[in-house]
Amino acid sequence: MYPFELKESILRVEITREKRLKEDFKHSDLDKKNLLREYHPNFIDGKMRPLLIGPNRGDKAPNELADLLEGNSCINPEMIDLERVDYNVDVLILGGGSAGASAAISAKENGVNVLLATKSRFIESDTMDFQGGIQAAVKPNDSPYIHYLDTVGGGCFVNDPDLVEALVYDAPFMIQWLESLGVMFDKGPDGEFQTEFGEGTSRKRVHNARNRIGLEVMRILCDEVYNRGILVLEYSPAIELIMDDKGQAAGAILINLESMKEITIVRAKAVVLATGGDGQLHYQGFPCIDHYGATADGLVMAYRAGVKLLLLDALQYFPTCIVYPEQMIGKPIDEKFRKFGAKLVNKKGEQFVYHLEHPDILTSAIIKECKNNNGLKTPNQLEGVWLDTPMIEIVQGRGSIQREFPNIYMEFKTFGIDITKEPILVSPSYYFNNGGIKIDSQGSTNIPNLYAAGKISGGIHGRYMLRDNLLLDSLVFGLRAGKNAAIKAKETSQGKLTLDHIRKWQNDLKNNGLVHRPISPILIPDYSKYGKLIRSDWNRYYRFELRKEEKFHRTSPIDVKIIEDLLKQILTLSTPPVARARLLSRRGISVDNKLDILDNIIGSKTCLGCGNCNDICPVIAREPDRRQRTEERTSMALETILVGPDECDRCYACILVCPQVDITIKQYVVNNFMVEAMSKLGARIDEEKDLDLDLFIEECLLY
Amino acid sequence: MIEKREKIIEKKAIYNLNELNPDRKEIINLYPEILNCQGCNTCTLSCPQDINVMDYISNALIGNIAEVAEKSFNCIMCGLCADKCPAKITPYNIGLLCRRLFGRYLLPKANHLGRRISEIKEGHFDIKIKELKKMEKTELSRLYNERDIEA
Repeated sequence: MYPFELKESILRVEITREKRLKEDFKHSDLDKKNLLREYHPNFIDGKMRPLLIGPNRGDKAPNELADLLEGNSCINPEMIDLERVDYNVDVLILGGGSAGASAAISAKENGVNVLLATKSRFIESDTMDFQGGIQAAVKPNDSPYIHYLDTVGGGCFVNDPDLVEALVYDAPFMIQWLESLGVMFDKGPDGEFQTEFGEGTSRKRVHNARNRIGLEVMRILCDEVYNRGILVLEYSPAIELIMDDKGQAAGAILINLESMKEITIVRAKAVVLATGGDGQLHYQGFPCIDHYGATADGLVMAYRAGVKLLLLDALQYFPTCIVYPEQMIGKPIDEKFRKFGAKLVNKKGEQFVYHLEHPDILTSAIIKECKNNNGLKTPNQLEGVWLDTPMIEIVQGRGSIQREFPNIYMEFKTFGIDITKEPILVSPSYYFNNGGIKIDSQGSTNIPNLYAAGKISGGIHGRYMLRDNLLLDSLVFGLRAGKNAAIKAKETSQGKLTLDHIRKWQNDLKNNGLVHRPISPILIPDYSKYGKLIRSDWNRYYRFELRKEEKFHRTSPIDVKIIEDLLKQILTLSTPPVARARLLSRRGISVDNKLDILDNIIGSKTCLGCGNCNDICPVIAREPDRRQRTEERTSMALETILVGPDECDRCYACILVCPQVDITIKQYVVNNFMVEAMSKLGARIDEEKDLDLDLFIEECLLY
Repeated sequence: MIEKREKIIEKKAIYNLNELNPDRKEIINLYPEILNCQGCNTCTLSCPQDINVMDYISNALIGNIAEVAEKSFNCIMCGLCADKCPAKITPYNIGLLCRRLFGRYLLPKANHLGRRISEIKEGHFDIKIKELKKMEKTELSRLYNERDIEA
C-alpha cells in the first residue's frame, strides 16, 4: 500500500495516462551535455576529490572511497609476530564470490595447496542475486569480433584492449566449462542455447538459467570447491596483506569476524584478491543492493601495498531502482519495463524524458526532476518519480505484466501494491564501480605474486559496464588469476615476511599531515550513517518467485518390482520401517503421504495417527517406559521411541498393521522377509533365557 | 555458528561429477540417510523459498532426477530444511547433486558451441580483433555506430 500522501499523485498519473498514450514524447531541446554536467552524480562538485597519497596520487576518487584509501591501518606492525604462522599454503584466495571460487578451482587444478578466506558464509556474495546473464558469442551469426565491438562501444572506448580480447575469446570456453560443471542453461529441445538480447548487445548472446544464472553458478562453484577438498575459512576477512623482503606479496592477516579479536596469519606464495566491490560505501547517499560485505576492503589493502588503481571516478548508476516499499530499496527495475512501454512520469503526471534514453541521461533527468521539486518524497525522506507500469497493460494487452515479470509482480503484491494498476516509485541507485585494480590479461597486478579478479579489478568495462559482461568478467579473470598464481607459486622463492609496507604507509601519512583519517578497511558498512538505505531483509526477494501451486499427478500405481531394491534397502535399515513403507504406498512416494493427521486423510496415504504401529511393536511392549518419551502415536513417534542403533527387532509387524500401507507392499514383506524375521526372533528368544515368553504375550495383550 | 555450519558441511558428500551416473543408486550411495525420510514435511514448511522440499526428496528417492532439478531450482542453499530434519537429511545438498547431474548428463548438448570453440582455437578471428585493438577511438566509434543489430 502506498502511503496517503502519495495517493493524490497516483490519481493525477491515472488521469493523464490517456493523454500520454496518444502523444509521442520527443525532447527536442534536450541539452544532453549540460544535463549530464549539472545533474549526473559523477560530475557534481565536491563529491570527488584527488587522492593525496599513494601510487594514484592526484587521481580523482569519490570522497567516501578516498577517505578509506588514505586511512590508517588497523594493526600495529610492532605487535604482530610474523613467525607464528597459522596456515602455510601455496595460493591464498581472499574473497568467496564467483571470482574467488573459480580462482580456487583453477589453482587447485594446477596442483597447488589452496586456502580460501571469505568474510561471511561461503556462498553469500553479489553473484547470488546477480540479475543479468552471461554474454558469449557462440551462435553462427555472431562472433567474438562483434562482442568486442559491443563491449568497447558500451565502455566509451577506454577499455583495456588486452582485457577485452581475453574476455571475448574466453566467453565460449566459460559456457563449455559451466556446462561440464552441470549448470542448467536455458536450452531448446535440440540442445541449442536459448539466448536473449542484453544491455547494449547487437546480437542475441546472453545466456541465462531461468533468470537466476548468478544463483545457479555460485551454488555449483561452491559445491565444486568443497568437492576438490579446498580449505575454506568462513567469517575471516583479511585486514592487511603481508609482503616479503623481496617486495612480493606473501600472505595476509585475517581476523575472526565474530570476536573481532583473534588474528590468523596466512603465509602464501601467491595471493589472489577477489574481495568484490564497494557498493556498501553508499556514495553520496545512494542506495545499493550489493552484499553487505562490499566495503572496498581489497582496494584499501592493495593500495597500501603499492598496487596501482585506475578509473576510480567511473561510477555507474542504474536509473530506475525501487524507492518504495523500503524493504526493496535499491532493487533495479529492468530496462525491459521501459521497452515494453512504461514511461517515466513526475509528480504532476507529465512525462519529462524520453524513456529509452541512455541510462546516464535518465539518471540525470530523474535527479533534475527531484531537485526541481517535481519528485515525490517517501515517508523515509527519499525522493523518486513514477515508472508508469499500468501503461504496459494498456499497450501490450492485459496480463502481460504477470506473464513477463512474474517475480516483480509477486514481490509488490506482498506489500499490497498491484503494479498492473499502480505505478512504481523509482530513483537512481549506485550500481557498479568501473574502476579498480589495474590488471593485465593474466590477472596479475604491478606487485609480483599478487593477482586480482572480479569486481575489484578495473579497466575491462571502460567507463560503462554492460551488465551481462559482469559475471563473465569474474569467471574469466578468476580462472586466469588462479591458474597463473598457481604457476607462479611453484617457481617462486619466498623471502622473509615483513610488514614494512605498513610502517612506510603510516610514515607517509604522518609526513603528509594526514594522521586524522579513519581506520580502514571497515569490514562492515556503517549502518548508523546509512540506516535508511539498508534493506532490512535483503535476501527476501528470492522467495516470491514461485508461489503457484505445484501439483503433480502420478496416476499409475507403482509396481512393487520397480521399487523392489529400494524396499530391500529400507527393510534392512535399523529403524522401524513403517513410515517408509507408508510413503511408498499407492502412488509411490509423494507429498500426499506426508505426516499430516489433521486434514485431508481421506483418499491419501497420510499417517492417521491411529497408533497401531506403536501398539504392536514388541520393543515397546517389552519396555513400557519408552512410551513416556512422547504422547503422539504417529509413525514418526515410533521412530523417536526407538532411537538407538539396532533397537528395532525388525519383525515388520508395524508394516502389516498399518492401515495406510499398500497391500502389495504387505504381501511382498510377508513373502520375502517374514519367515526370516520370525526365525531370527525365535532364535533370540531361545538365547535370552531370562526373558519370560508368557509375560511378553501378557504385555502385548495389555497395551 | 561456525561449528554448526561445519557439521553441515561434513554431511556434504564429496564426489567427482565426471565419474557419476545420473541414476538413483548414485544418490543413495552418496546420501544414504535419504532412506530415513519419515515424511514429516517439516522441510517444506521451513523453506523460505516455498519449495516443496519433501516432494523433491521423494522424487530423488525414486530416481526422478529431472523432476528434482525442476522443483528445487529456486533453492538458495540456506540450510533451514537440513536444520529442521529429524532424519538428519540435508535436502539442499541432494537437490544440488540432482541439478548438477541433470545439467551435465540429461540436458542435450549444443553443437554450435563446439564449432565456435574450435574456430577460436584455430585462430579464425585473430586478424580482425588485432585490427580492432590497434584502432583509434574515432574509427572504433564509427564501426560501433554502423554495426547492424539482429532483428
